[in-house]
Amino acid sequence: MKRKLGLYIITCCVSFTVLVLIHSVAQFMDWGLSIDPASTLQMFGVTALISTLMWITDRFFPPEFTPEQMLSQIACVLVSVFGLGGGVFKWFPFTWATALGVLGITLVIYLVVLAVLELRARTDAEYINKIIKKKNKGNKEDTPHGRV
Amino acid sequence: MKLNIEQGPHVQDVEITIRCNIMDERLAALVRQIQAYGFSIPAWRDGRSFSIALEDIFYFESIEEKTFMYTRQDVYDCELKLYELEEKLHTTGFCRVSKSVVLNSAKVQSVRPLLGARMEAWLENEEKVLISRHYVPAFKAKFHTEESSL
Repeated sequence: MKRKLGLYIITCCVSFTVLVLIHSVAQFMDWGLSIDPASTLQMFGVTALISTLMWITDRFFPPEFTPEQMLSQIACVLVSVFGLGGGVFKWFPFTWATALGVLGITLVIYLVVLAVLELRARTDAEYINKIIKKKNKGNKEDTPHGRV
Repeated sequence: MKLNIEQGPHVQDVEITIRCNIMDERLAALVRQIQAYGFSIPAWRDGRSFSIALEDIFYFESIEEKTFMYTRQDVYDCELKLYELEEKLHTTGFCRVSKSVVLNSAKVQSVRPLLGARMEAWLENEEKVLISRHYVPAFKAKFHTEESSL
């Protein structure tokens, strides 16, 4: 339970960081977005809601990462961004143009978070393979007469 | 470190004594390995009971409330539940890698990352076992312990 929750907290933190970075770039480019303490907390609220929804919905999927699970995760992101971000926090007006823009940014953030998690898994696999290789090398050096 | 081995027909039981000043992490890991060596799990196959040494077990799998034990070539029935095995074997190289599998990390030949932050472990008997992303940190920690004892 604890270790499963840990992964969703990491997901929440990574997506929050990416969101703040995109927001900062948007503010820097003068796209009409501003970052104040309230909007920072709101952003964290949205990323926390995404992670919570994923935590709940991921239970209904097998351990294999299926396209259906990916679609479910994207749905969790969109429900949180449009429901909490657009509906409750009034981040953007509900027009076709803004909806498409938000959809694009949302998908970019989702893919970046996915890529970060993939990169982490790749690094972990390399680390484990390195230890196995080291262990196997050590075993080969063992002879019936002791270690040479 | 001094290693004394006394071998002869007069010795009835294998006895291991460790004399040390401080029990450091490397020594603690060695003690865990020795404890695992002397440990076996009761199992059944074709109505016969067996006692399988821990170092011969590749993994345990739970299918429809039943637990199965896999060795290099054979499959046995095991009375213990996965959570009981996980508890019992937490000081050894065994760890939970998915909802239905407890894997012996010592039997892993290599791992490769899969989509969805999961991994696939190749075992010594060329079988493949899926490591669910939730269990990757615990699985990695087993190897971290091994690394500190190498």
